[in-house]
Amino acid sequence: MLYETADRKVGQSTLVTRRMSVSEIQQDDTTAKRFTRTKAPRDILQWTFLKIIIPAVILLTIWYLIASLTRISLFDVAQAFMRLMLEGDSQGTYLTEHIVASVYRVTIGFLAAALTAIPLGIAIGRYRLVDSILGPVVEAMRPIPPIAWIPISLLMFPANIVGAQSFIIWVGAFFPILINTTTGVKRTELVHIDAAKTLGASESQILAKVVVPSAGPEIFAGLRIGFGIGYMCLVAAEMLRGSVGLGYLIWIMWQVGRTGEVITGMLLIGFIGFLITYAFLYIEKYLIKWRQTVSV
Amino acid sequence: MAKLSVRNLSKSYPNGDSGETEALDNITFDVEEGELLSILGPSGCGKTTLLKIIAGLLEPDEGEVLIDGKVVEPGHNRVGYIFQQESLFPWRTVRQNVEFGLEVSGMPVEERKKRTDEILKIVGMEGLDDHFPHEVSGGQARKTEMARSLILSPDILVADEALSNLDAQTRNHLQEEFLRIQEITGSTILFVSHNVDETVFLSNRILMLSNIPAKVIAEYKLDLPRPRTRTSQACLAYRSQILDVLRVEQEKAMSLTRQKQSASI
Ligand SMILES: Nc1ncnc2c1ncn2[C@@H]1O[C@H](COP(=O)(O)OP(=O)(O)OP(=O)(O)O)[C@@H](O)[C@H]1O
Ligand SMILES: [Mg+2]
Repeated sequence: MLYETADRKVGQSTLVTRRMSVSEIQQDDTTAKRFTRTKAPRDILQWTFLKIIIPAVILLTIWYLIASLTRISLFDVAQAFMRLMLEGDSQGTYLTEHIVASVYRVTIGFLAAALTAIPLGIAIGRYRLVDSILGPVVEAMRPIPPIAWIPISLLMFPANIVGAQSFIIWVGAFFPILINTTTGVKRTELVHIDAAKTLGASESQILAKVVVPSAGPEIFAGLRIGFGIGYMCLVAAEMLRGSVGLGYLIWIMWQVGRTGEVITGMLLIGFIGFLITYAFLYIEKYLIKWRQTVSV
Repeated sequence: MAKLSVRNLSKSYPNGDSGETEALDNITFDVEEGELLSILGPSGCGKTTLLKIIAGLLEPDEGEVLIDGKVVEPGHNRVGYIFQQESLFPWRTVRQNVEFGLEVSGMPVEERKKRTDEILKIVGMEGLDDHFPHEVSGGQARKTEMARSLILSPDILVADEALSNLDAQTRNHLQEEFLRIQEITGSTILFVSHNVDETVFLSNRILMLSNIPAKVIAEYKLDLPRPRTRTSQACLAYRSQILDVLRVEQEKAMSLTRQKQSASI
């Protein structure tokens, strides 16, 4: 949701810049013909400035403040980053290994969540009987925060720390995906289902060709939100046990008082999350271009 | 033998606390092969309910529907349906919408494409096939819906106020398109409308329904040659005759509601 509003704001700002160039055209109608549809170089400059440079400066300022509040500088952070890359941590584990471990766990947990939550969400959304049986079950499990599952998960997977951590991610991602899928499926318009029926579609064809595409935007939003929550849970889960992962890195470095490494870990967690969320938004935009109404 | 027979259909909807709304009351009529039968009735009288039962989308409380003399069960798909509201799949392009019926029947891609091209040409939507439904006009969306139903060459086509929400010019144009397409395909058509002018222009026969619960209250056979002129003497005569009956029905409905109001006070 947060990203959606952010995106809209960016959309508005490009609109504003375009409007400015329109007023320029009106002031100077001798050059009017030259400004037709193509973006002037000045617009592109403004665009990079608004969308890339300003956010980067704000981020740097935030991290500068955080670093100085913990009595180190961004230079120390950069040094810590280089050390982790080239020499690894105290056990010799390189930064890339921490990253790979975290991304691997979140991928496993997230895929498991998607593969279970989407079919279940479709069944609950489409069949009233399933809804009335499983609806209360879901509502009684959902309020338990994923973090509260950590002790149980360690007991459930005693010898398998990756299993326990993936399980936590699964719990975190499962419910947002499930709820969004259910909502989307319930919103399928009756007339689309009726139309498919009169055109000879079977129930499984109705599911595959009407219900799922119609709920596509909601399912995708659920995946994005579920990923975000699963990812947060991962870092918490990694802090508890194990010997590798970005959450583990932050925790262990805090214990030995290496603030530069702690901030490096945090920056990377943010950066990876950023990349994946933008990948989601990008795919989403492409897949559901039919939802986009007339754009300016 | 009639192409379509509707026998003693009755249907009520549960209606909150006040019991039931009786929508259809013992409706019976036949439609002959290749005929264009219009159903004319006031808003909310049960026209959509009737069509949905005929198309197998809704179960009647009583009565049955026969196609070619055989009773059809709910869930059959022998009737093409043009819905009252916009019904194109918004996630599919015009072409993909039109193709839907062939796709679910498992027809090979190439033949599907050929048939789709043909029908898009018949309704005059060639060249717009890559557009999504939100990128075409209301009239073009209607033509696409027609093509989507007609591509399966249904024996029977039902159209629920297919042309109601269009401006007069587009509507007149699409009425003519409708007749042209019927001539090509030879479909039996059941055309629901609340527009007298339109039904007189299009139909072989008109059934008039009463206010809710719907009963058949009048039937007109229009022995007029086609193409018809909307303002010809014969057309105007039918129109005024039908409008008179509608006026009486309207007055009845109003006095009924007045009675109900005074009873509730
Ligand atoms: N699903 C439903 N549940 C309860 N009542 C319904 C339902 N569908 C229709 N009705 C009621 O049945 C009556 C007939 O509805 P229907 O949609 O068949 O009318 P219609 O003749 O198609 O009207 P219009 O010309 O406005 O489209 C109406 O009074 C309506 O309120
Ligand atoms: Mg209706």
